[in-house]
Parts: sequence; C-alpha cells; structure tokens
Amino acid sequence: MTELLHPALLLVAAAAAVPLLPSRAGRALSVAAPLAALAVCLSAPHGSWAGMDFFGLRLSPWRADALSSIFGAVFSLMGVLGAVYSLHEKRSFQRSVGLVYLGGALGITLAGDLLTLFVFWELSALAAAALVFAGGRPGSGAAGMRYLMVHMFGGVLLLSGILLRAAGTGSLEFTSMTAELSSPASWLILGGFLLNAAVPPLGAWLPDAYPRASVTGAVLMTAYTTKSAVYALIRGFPGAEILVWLGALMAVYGVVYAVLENDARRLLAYHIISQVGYMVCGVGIGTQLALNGAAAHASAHIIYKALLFMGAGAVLHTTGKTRLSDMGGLWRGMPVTMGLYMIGAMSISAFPLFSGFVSKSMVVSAAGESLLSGPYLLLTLASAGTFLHTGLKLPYYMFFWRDSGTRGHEPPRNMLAAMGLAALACVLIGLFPGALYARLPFPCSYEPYTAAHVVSAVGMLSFTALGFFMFLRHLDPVPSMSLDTDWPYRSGASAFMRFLHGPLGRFADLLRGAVLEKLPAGLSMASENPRAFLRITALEARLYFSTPENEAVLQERLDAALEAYPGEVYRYRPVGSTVMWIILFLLGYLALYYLAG
Amino acid sequence: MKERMKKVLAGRLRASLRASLLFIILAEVMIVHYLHLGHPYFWFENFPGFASLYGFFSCVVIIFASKWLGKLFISRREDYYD
Repeated sequence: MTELLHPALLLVAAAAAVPLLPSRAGRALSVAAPLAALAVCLSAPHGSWAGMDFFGLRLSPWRADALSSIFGAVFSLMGVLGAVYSLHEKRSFQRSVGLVYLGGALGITLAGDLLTLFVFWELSALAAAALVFAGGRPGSGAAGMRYLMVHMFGGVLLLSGILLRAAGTGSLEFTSMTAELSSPASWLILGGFLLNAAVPPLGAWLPDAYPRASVTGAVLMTAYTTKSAVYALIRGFPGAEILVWLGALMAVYGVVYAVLENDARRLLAYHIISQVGYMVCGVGIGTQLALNGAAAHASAHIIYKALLFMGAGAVLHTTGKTRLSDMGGLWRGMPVTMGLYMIGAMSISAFPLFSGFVSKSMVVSAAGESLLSGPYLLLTLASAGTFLHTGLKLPYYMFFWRDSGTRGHEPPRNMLAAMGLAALACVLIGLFPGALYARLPFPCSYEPYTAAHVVSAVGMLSFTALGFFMFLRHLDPVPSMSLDTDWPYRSGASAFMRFLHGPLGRFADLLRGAVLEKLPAGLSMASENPRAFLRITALEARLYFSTPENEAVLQERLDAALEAYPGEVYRYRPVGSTVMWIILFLLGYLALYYLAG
Repeated sequence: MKERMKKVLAGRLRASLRASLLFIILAEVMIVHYLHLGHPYFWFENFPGFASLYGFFSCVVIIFASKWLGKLFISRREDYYD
C-alpha cells in the first residue's frame, strides 16, 4: 500500500480533485498536496519500492536516496510557495496543472529506471506547455506550440537513447553513464537531458516560453524543467568532461543576452540559463565538492529565482508592464515588493549572508581545486554579470531611474506572503548553510565564511557596482528583441510554409493533373479502343512536332479521329481514381509479398 | 535651499561610497595578500586586490562586449518574428 504514497501519484490525484472541489477547498488542497509531498520526501527512508517487471525489464518507479531526497524536498517546497503565490487566481486550471507539473518533476527525481524517468519527463513537458498556453500574454499560444515541439523533440532523443541502451545492455537502471559516453545511446540520452537543462544551442526555448507564461505559471516553470534536468545530469553523467566547458560558457552566454534584454521576465529567464551553467559545470567537474555544489546551488537557485520571478510578476500583475523601457520609479507604490525582490537579487548575486553565496561558491571552489583556470575565470565573470543585471540593472530601471508615471501598488497579500516565505528561506540558507549541507548527496565539510572569501566576494561585487554606475547610460533599456538559437526553427518554419504554399504547391498541382487526370484518361481510352487510341496519340505527337504548313491539316485529322472515337471520352471522377489507387496499392502489396517471401 | 541641500548630500554620498570602495579593496589586499588568510588556487590570484579588479573588469567587458555583439547581429526590432 505504501506505493500509493508515491508523491507523483499523490499530486496527480490532487490535481484531478482540485477543479472538482469547491473553490476554497481546491485552494487549500493545492497548498496541502505539495506539503504532503514534502513530508513524504523528507521522511521516506532511503531504498527502492514499487518495483515491477515490464516485458522482462525491471522498473523501479520509487528510489529514494540522498540526491533524490534533496531535489524532491526543494521541488515540493517550491510547489507550496507557487501554490500560495497563485491563491488569488480565480480559475483552477493553472492550480491543477501546476500540481501535475510538480508531480512530473518529483516522478523524475524518484525514478530508479529510465523508462519511468521518460514518462514523467513527458508529463512535466506537457504540464509546462499547458502553463504557457494558459499564459494569456501576447504570443502565448504560438510560444506554447514551440515549447511543445521542442520538448517533444527532446523526448524523442531521450526515448531513442533509452531504447538503444535497453537493447544493448538489457537494463533500464538509471545510474551513471559517464563511462559509456562513446556509445550513441548515451549521447542521445545526454542530448535529451541537455535540451531540458537549456544548454545552448538547445536552450532557446526557455527565454522564448517563460516570459509568455502567466504571472503565476512562470514562477513554477523557473523551478522544475531545468532543475530536474540538472538532477538527471548529476545522476547520469557526473564527471563528463564536456559539461565543464558547456556549463562555463552557458553561464557567460546567459549574462551576455541579459545585457541586451528589455523584458524584465526574459532578462531573468536568461539568468536561469546562466545559473544552470554553474550546475552543469559542477556536474562536469564531477568531484564530491562539485556535485554537492551543483545540488546545493540547484536548491538555493530554485528558491531565489522563484522569488525574483514573483517580484517581476507582481510588477506585471499590478501595472501590466513587463518592459523595462516602460518602467521606472515604482518603489513609491510597492516598497515591500522591492525589498523582497532585493533579497532574491542579493541571493542570486551571492552576497555573503544570502543563499547564493553558500552554494555558488562551492562550484567555483571546486573548479579552483580541480585547477580549471578557464572555467574558474568564466564563472567568476558570470557572477559579476549576474549582480550587474539582477542586482543592479533590473531593480534600478524597474524601481528607480525616473518617474515613469506608473504608480503601481502592492500585489495581493498571498503573493506577498509567498515572496516573504521565499525570502525567509534565502536568508536562512545563507545564515545557516549547515542545514542544507547536511542533506547533500556526499559528506560535506565546506566552509563558505572564511575571511578571504568574504572580502573577495564583497570586493568583486562592489567594484562591479562601480562599473555599473560609471557606464550606466550604456545600459539604458531600448525596445528590441534578441536573435537566439531558435532562429532556425522560427524563421525556418515560416520559410518552410512559404515553400509549401509556393513552389511545392504548384508542383503538387502539376503532379495531380498528370497522374490523376491525364494518365487515367489515357488508360481508359487505351483499354476501350486500343487502335483508335494509338491513332489519336500518334496524331497528337505529330501535331506537337508539326510545322506551320501541315499544322492545320493535322488538327483537322485529329478532330475527325476524336469525333469518330467510339464510346465516351474519359472524364475525371474521384471514385474512379480512388478505385485505381486501391488497385495499384493492392498490386504493390502483392508484389512486395512475393518479393519478400 | 532644498536643491542645494540635495547637492551637498549627493556629494557626501558619493564621497563616502568612494571611501568605502577604497576601504574594501584595501581590506582585500591586506587579508588575502599580506595576511595570507586565503589559499589561492591560481597564480593570478596573488595579484593584490585581484577579486575587486576582476569584478570591475568583468563588468566593463560584459557591458561593452554584449553591446558590440548586439550591434553585430543579435539585436533586432521587437516585431522581428511577426
């Protein structure tokens, strides 16, 4: 019976119940279900349950160990925060989908085999796509479609890898595949994971979709898809060297795009890519400190990034604005939102005493200990960039800068409560990192608060701020959009449609005329009166190659032959051509059958 | 009168910010470079005030490199895909 307590099942059941319950009970359940999942994740003993055989392969949908517990617990906690943040929503659709999304993410973290992982992988992709579709922003529908197609492509990569692997090794167990990185199966699986972790060039779906989700939906999206992929990478590819550089470059890539971005939530979305870069790099380094760092940073990141998205979402909710070039001076109307946002900004910027400081530095230190000077410098550069944008640029242009005339006011109390809880978690993790460190997958003796570390961090951040204020006018937001690696499929898709409607359409018309009309007409004439058919064809051919002198004579003889043709001249009828096609296919099938037999 | 007060205050604020930046970099140089409380991973970290200088350098590089890339090919009109 304990199998029924599987958190993913609990949440999917709750998601089904939420829309059926009266509004108040539905809201209560949407908070209570993630709380229950949190309790199960924290209290379940380590081990594997609910195993079953599936066509000779062993499935283990519930495997609990230190790594899955910490991700499961943080995902559930995030589910609680997200549910509180969306309590004011009148419609239950997003509440319900949010629970399915959390269920998918928990299913991924608890999956002991790759097939279960795949099922929940797709479940969370569907739920996330539903959140984009329900976004209600301009372009939400198209962005949701793109999200769905990109993730279905990633799912196909993953599934083909899983099937190849199962065929090769006869096992579906989800363990480290770093040693087998030479096989196509592992590459396909890695590709699927990297797509969900938004590693460039596979990551453009993230800044495309997140800003188009609703205010409450985006908060959930920031947490689950990329971080469940980080979990899968930690579990599946620890120490895969390619990830070191991919991660380090990814951290810088997100920062570069953030400079150019004008949409507040898209700027934050680019910083998700940047932050996930630290985790991917940590997975690639693969030492105990680095993997602990990746897990710790994912945990801290989920909370502070949600807090930042909640802040930008609150501004969007009360002012309807999301472009920085339309904002300014909002601190007067919403000082509490600004304060809470700043706690998230301090955390992501890794200020001492905030959560990012105790988690990000683990990855950076691990790069140092492994003597990887390039990634070390790139990650430190990206840290400066993170503070520059989320800590300085965004709050400066949103809350100060100039008086844009937009006043804004504090958002509903439930939104502030969720932000307050998230901010509290950021500060608590920063002040007492021991509680987080104790839950990491490997024994951890890391000490973030050394005198040298604290002064270098403060020095780095203060001089970044100096640079910001010196070159402030270069950062003024301008309305623009940035080309990203989604250009091939966004512009490519419309070019493909133009090709379909234009040249290919004309070719198809030509082909239809020839195959469906001319060819059957000729065949039917030939079968009814072969002699007359030959004569007419010959006359037509001669007419085609005629000289001006004999053209009139030939035309006359052709008309006479057509006149004399016995029986009806063929006319195109759909039924007739359908029968012809059926006969052709049956003939083809017969031929194939004999050839193959 | 009010305008003058504002100016004086802004000047004071700027001066104190400058002083605190100086203090921070001096603290870093003292603690990391002379007291050897940290354990640098790489040779370049032995440069006095490395973290602060690198922070400033990063900020400038990020701003200008991104702006340059944006002009080069990244930034487009908002309705590019419409």
